[in-house]
Amino acid sequence: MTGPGQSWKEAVGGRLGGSGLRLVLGLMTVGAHLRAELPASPQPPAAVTWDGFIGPWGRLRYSRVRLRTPAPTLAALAFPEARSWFFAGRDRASVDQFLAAGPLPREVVDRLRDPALRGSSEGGEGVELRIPDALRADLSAEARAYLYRELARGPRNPAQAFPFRVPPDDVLDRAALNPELRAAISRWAYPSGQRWLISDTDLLLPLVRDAAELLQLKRALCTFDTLSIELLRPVPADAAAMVAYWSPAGSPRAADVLQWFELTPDLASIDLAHLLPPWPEALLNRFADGVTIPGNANCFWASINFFRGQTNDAVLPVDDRSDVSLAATLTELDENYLPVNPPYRFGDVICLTTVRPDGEETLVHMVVLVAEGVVLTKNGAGGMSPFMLAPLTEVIDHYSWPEVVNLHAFRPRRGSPALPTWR
Amino acid sequence: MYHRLPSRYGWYRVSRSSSVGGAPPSTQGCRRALRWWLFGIVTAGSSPAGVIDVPRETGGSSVTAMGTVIDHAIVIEAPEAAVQAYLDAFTDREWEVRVSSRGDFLAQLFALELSSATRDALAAPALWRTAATAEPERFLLHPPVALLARLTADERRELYRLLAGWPGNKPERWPLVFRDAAALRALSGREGIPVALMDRAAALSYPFAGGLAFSDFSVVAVEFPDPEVLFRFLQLASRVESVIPRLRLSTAKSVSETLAYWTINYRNPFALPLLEALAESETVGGTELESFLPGSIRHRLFDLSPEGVSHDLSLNSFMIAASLAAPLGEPADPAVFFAWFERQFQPVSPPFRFGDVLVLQSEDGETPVSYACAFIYEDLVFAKDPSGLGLWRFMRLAELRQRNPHFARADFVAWRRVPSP
Repeated sequence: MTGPGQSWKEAVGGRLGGSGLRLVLGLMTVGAHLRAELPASPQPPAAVTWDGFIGPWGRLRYSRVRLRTPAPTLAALAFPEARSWFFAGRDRASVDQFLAAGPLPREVVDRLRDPALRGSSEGGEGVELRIPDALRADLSAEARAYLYRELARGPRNPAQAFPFRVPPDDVLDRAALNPELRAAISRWAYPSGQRWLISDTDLLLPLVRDAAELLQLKRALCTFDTLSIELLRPVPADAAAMVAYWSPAGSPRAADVLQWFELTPDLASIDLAHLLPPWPEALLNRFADGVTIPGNANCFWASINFFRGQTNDAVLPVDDRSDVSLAATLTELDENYLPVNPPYRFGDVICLTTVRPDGEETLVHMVVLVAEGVVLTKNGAGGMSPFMLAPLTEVIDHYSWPEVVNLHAFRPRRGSPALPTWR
Repeated sequence: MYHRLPSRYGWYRVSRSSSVGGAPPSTQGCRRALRWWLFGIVTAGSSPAGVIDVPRETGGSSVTAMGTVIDHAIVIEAPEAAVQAYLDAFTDREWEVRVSSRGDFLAQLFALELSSATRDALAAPALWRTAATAEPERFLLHPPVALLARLTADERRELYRLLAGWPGNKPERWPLVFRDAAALRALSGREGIPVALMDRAAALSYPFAGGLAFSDFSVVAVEFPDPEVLFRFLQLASRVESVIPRLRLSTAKSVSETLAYWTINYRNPFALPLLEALAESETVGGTELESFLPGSIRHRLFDLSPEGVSHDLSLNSFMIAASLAAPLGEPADPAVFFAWFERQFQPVSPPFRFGDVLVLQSEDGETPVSYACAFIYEDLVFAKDPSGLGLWRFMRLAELRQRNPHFARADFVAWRRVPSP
């Protein structure tokens, strides 16, 4: 963690490693109105629900909700070509050594060493292999995880760098994919932490029967586990601590919400959204649509503007250049935030960084702590991913591919544009 | 089929389709009413073409094809900053009078049931001044507290209805509303407010169908000059029992129709992902309807900005109601807004649907205020409470009608966003 008194640049070296910035998928906006027909579900199953621990935030009740990327946005989604593997920074001997050191069967290693697979771009920067579909299809999950983690570190392997998460079985069940396609997803998935990922989505395409099934496949792969959260009736003795927790800038909103409970003895709970500042409240469970939310909105924009009245759009990517967004974000952190140590509190920004092979630490993601380890996150830029509430552990798991992530926490300076003092 | 549209500027006839089966009513009357409002003129009512006549809901839940809406009761008060803003803005009383001359106003007073002493007092030249050189037909009038204090309830009703026709008279247009004097008294002891103040407030009110209308905070402020007590009084006056509606989709008969309803035929696509998710796996107890409103108006629920306290709420009520169905840019001036509104919306007949804008129009053409709210479901609307410290909240139409004395004999005509070509 970042130490007190350290500036952001001291904490992560002040480097702007744009190539290492992991902003998933590009600018995609909602184009047309969705007219999806869902299977009738007269009695939908209840969402998984559980209560949290009591803390200065009160007591929260969580329910799992699964958001899927809107169909119009998915229409523009193309599965990346994964036939070409580029081993960045390696020569032929190094690649052979890497292949031999992994959990690959001897036969697979020999096939990968076949000179016929060598691509045309070898020469200093790395080694390219052109992999036949049959060979890719035969890889075990273990081999795939080993190979793809390495490939994800390089700049030319988008399929491995930005894999899809294989959704839970119930999501795949609902997608009603044909059995062959469903089986292929399982066969070509590989593990990463608590998740299963899939990079070889281009191999799935020949198994898709029609456009409707392709849409269902995309929707299943673009499913996001979010949380619907309610604040349960607080114990009166907690009131002062709760107001202090939810109102770091002195906003009266938390006091108002607590008063609702006081005036309404039968009020059992209230949506947590009522306690959020106006902007994150407006973003919650929404996708960037290019109309009400900038189509290129990313995690930096969502986090930096948490308390702001007027959004700081300087942190948005310009012409899909994430390095511009990153530079503006680092400047914002420098000017308006202070590094902090635990205990963290509502509104603290948590930065996820990775250390690249060259030793450079790069900011890859940013979230805002809400309560009890739950954060407001947007896992990827543009319209493909929602602004949502999720456990920080799941966000870390999501971003721990291919590298382990480090965490740094920052608190907006009270009275700065990042945390305007309430009048 | 013709309906008369009375106004103080004469009688108008508006043709209306005589066909049945859901044909939309003529837009002429509605558009005219809107345009008049632009110029600060009392709106004329049109035919109750789209009058909503739905059963009153008093809580509980209502089940329809579009899911189940469960009302959770909640008691709220205005935020402290808004209360303070009201106290600051309306402790001193000033009336706006838009007439060609003082004599013109006196002529209008003669049409009211006022005592001659009251009329004479109001005509005293010392009370009058013109608002500005550029506005020769706009006068400001400072009524003496003694005069206000001795008005009878009937005089108050008559005079304040006249004054409510001019947008500068917020306390008269959007008075504080109490259910009844007994309720006021009952609350006073518990809240540490002198019973005498509550009794005085009740005495300075005038009764109407919804309870007591109270415009004379300025009188109470002089008679009970303790700012803390006045603050608490206003806070209490803003207290209201409201609802937090929660939507459950498990009873929906058709998922696709339900999604279409709550997204206004997919014109509010931002709400779709959450609706789809809930249609597949519902949270216990449902999800607050607020979650499906546009982000730009979502945070207004149960809120009132201090800046908004002193402004008339007519335009605001139209703009926010309309923005549920059509994203609005920066706040526009009335002329720009209503030009936009007339292009984007047109009157429709029942049944109404989520996102329709319900515009207040009186059957007798005598409602002095303009007002709109957003239709949600059955008789549920998202509305700015049309009383003094009105918060944005979900209301049942039956309750809404009783929250302002000028809504008597008025009904709502629905306007719907025109489909894109």
